[in-house]
This record gives sequence, C-alpha cells and structure tokens, in this order.
Amino acid sequence: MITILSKEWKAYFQSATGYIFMTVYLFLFGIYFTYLNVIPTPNNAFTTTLSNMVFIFVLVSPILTMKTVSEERKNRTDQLLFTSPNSIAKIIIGKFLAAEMLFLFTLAITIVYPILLSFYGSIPYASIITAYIGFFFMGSSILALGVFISSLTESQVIAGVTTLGVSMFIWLIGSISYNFPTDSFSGMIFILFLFLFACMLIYQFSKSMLLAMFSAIICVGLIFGLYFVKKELFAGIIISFVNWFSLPKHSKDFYLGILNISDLVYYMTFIIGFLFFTIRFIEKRRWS
Amino acid sequence: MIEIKNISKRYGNHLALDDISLTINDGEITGFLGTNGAGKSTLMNIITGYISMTEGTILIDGIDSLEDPEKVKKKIGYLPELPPLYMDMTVAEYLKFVCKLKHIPVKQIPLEMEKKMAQVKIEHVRNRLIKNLSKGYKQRVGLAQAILGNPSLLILDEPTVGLDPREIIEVRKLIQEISKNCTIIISSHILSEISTICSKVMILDKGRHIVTAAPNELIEKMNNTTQLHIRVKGDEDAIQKALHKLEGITHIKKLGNYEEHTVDLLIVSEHGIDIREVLSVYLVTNHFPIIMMKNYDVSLEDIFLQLTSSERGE
Repeated sequence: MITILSKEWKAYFQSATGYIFMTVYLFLFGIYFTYLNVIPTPNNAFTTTLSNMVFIFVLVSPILTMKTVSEERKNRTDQLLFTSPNSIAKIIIGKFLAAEMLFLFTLAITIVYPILLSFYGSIPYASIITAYIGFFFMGSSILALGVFISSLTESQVIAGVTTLGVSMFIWLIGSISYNFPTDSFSGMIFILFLFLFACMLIYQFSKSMLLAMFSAIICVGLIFGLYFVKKELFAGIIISFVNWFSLPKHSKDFYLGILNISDLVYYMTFIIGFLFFTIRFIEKRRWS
Repeated sequence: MIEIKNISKRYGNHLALDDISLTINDGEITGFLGTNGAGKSTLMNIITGYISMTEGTILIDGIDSLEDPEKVKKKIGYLPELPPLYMDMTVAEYLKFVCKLKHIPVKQIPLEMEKKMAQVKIEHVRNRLIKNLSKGYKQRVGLAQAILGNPSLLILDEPTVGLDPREIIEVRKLIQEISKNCTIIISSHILSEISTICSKVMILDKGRHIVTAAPNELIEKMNNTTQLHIRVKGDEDAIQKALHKLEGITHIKKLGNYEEHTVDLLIVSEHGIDIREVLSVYLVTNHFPIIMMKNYDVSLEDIFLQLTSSERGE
C-alpha cells in the first residue's frame, strides 16, 4: 500500500496534474479569501470562505482522480499491479490515499489564511477547525467517488467528466429536493423502482434469473403489504432518500462549529462504501 | 511443478478456454502455440491471477491459486504481450518500484536491481526515461521486471513480437540464459521460436487443447511418410498418369509450375520405402526428364496447420 501511495504521489508531480490542481485551487482560494475576508463585506466569516471553496473543490477534484484506475487499464500497467503479490484492496486504498494526501497538503497550505487573520483580530478557532474537518471529509468523499468512477472506464476524460457530473448532481440534489412529491403513493412507487433496480443488480452479479425473480416477488409483496398497512411510512420518503445523498447537507453543522458525529459516520460510510464498490467492481471484472 | 486442471473460461456465451489440462515440471520451457485468439494469453492471464477461470484449478508447487493468491503470485514473474511500463519513470525508478511491489527486502533492492539489469544488459540506460527507449529496450526492461525476485515460474507472452531480427535473437538468448534457473511458459505464434527454445509444446486452437508434446516428437509423429519434391519436364497430365501406375506411391500433389514445360509435384510414399531410385529410372524410361529432386521435410508449420485444420474439419 505504501509502495502504491508513494508511486502515485510522485506521479502527481512527475506529470503536471499535482501542480495544476494546487495552482488552480490555491489561486481561487486566494481570490475568495481576498473578496470575502480581506475586503470587508457583510458576510466576512472565514468559515463562509471554506464552505464556498468546497464547490470549487467539486469542480477541480476530477483532476486528482480521473487517472487513478482508468489510465492503468488503458496502458495495461494494471497487469503489473494485479499480478503482483498485493491485494486489490491495498492497491486501491494506496491510490486513494495518495489523492487524499495531495488534497490534505493543499488544504494545509490554506491554514495560512486564518493565521493571517488572527494577526488583525480574534478569530473563532473552534469553528474554523470544525469547518476544516467538515471540508476534509466532504472532499474525501468526492475523491472516493472519483476513484470509483475511474475504475469504470479506460478513458480518463470520460472518468473526469462523469466524476464532475455526478459530484455536481450530488451537490445540487439537496437544493432541488424540495420540489419532489411528498405523498405516500409516489413514495411507494419510488421505493418499488429502487428495489426492482436492486433486483436487476442481483441478476447482473449472480446471473441467476431465479434468484432475481424470487427477490423481486418478495420485495413487491413487502412494499405493497407495508403500503396498505402503514401508508404514512412512504410519505416524504423521496426527499429523505435524496437528502441522504446530498453531501453538502451533512457538512452544514461543521461550518457552524458543531462536530456532528453522525455526519462524520455518514462521510466515513460514503468513503468506505465507494472504495468497497471500486474493489468489488475490479474483482467482478476479473471473474466475468 | 505447475498443474493446470480442467481450466475453462467463458466471456458471456463465448467459450475462450475449453477444459485445458497440463502439467509442467520444474525447469521445463513450455511453449503455448496457437493463432491469434486461440486462448494463449487468456490461459497465461489465468495462471498469473490477472483474471479468474470459470472452472478448474491451478496448483503452483502444490498451492491452489484461488486459496492463497498472494503466495502464488510471489512465485510468478510475468511479461505480458505489451510490457507493463510507466513511461514517465526512468528504468531504475521503475525497477525499484517493481522490487517494492514484489516485497523484496529494502536492503536487497540495489543488488537485485544491479544483477537483473546486468542480466538483460540495460545498465547503461538506467537513468533514461522509459518512453525514450527503443522497443527492444522496453522489452528488456519488461523482462527485467519479470525476473526481479527470482520467480520460480516465468511467464512470457509473445516476448519477441514487434522486435527487429537482431533484437529477436538477443531476447531469445536472454530467455535461454534465464531458463537455467526457472520454469518458463512462453507463448508465440512463431513456430521456429517455439521449436528452438521449448522442450514441450502445447498447441491451442479456438480455446481447445489440440496436442502437447516435445517439438521433435511432434515432427516424428507426423512424419510417418517419406515425401519427395520433384520437378519434371513434360506434359503435366501424362506425368501424373504415369506416376499413378508406379507402386509404392500413396499420394501425388501438384505444387506448381515454376519453369517452362515443367511441373513440381509432391510425391508421398509409404513409410520406410525409399522410392528415389525407382522413381528416377521410371520417369526417365517414360521420357520425362527429372530437373530436380529433394526430400520434403515436414516442418512444425506443416504440423501446426495440419492439426488445427483437421480440428476445424477443413
């Protein structure tokens, strides 16, 4: 894992990737900092600058992850990695940690801004620290998603654009979720589609029509049963489901100076989940 | 010892490998022979653990490749058809990275790298970026990474493909040198390469195992007839008609017309019967002068084509 990590870390700086990411990100951070914190405005909290910078990170993070797995596949160097005496999990975690290290390193440079501000007055250290923690976990989640998308294709361009699209969708979904229907019937239909999709995945992975059909029948029966017994369970379920995927919603507390453990667990689950999917997807490709 | 037992591989409905079994003893050089798409690379990828089989088992020195993949992978050095090289690294950086990937102790890495670079003669390009090397040197770097850590099994997938004749000879020499210390599996569709390097050949066609034998055994097995290539002057039909009357000839095949008023024929006689003297006297007596006569040796190419076309029912 350390071998992969150090190789990837060097690769970021052997190519222009690392420099481009750091330059673009720090340049935009500087502009935001100047306009929100140096030139006095009505809203001049440093935590606001940080929360705005998360969106910029969503835009530039594909630079870090788009190559991670896709380029290895394209250049057939994955044959070297996957035939070496190292597990796929170690290889993927090594690659993720390298992207994570570069992100952390870039983020660490920005600590100079609150330090600068502290020379000219008192700053809320606690909320800035929690804001940084929130930023780090939110960014790590996007990186894990990017590594997963990179494992789906051989083209780093497709991986980059898809990561950007999916991250933007996850970013915006929370803001548009209020327009979704809240009635029980719509909720039931939504859950039904969701479970049928899961059954399709069962078929895709197991290639057993019998198992998929059996799962589908049980799911349909359960959902209809629940709907007729306790309708209110399905009310507003679409919004709750969509909001669960909204990464920014889970970071709100951090910018207010609250270290919310449930949000930390959410981000950890998101990161581990997507790294797990990446490993499983590569494993599945070996077997199919 | 490598034991490949009943390996099958399916890609959806396509059967890429069909019930392949093979045992390779320590120190043997085994060649996988087949046309493109025969399943050579698929079988190699399965042995190395890059992809998994649909059915069957592989035992390397008694260890099941599915039960303890990391232990099995430690015993294998692999050079795929396209060497897995990082173009932005120098040769030394790349080999150091591979050493670490193979868990070679840090203290031993410099010595191991020196030894292997010397073995494949790439010491003078150690500080050059891999992307700036010629194809031959890239292949050598690929070979060096495969032999790092002294694997007991070396798998080489078409190691000479795309190289110029001088590079081919050098890479073959290298393989023969390396073979003194380990078991080698090599794939190729160049028959002369297989026959010069390998002690055993497995012929594959469309994922099926056709035959496994030593190259000379194969030639011996197939060469159960005496064949002559003759060039005779005269009317083609009359010559063939006359030859059909001669005893001892089992088959006559026209090879072409290469000189004016002549015909080239392949004469097959019963095994062990030398018909050269009888044939020359007979043809001259019938006023058909012999311009040329030579033995027609069965090559590995002929055997390969014969075996694969008979399997296809051609």
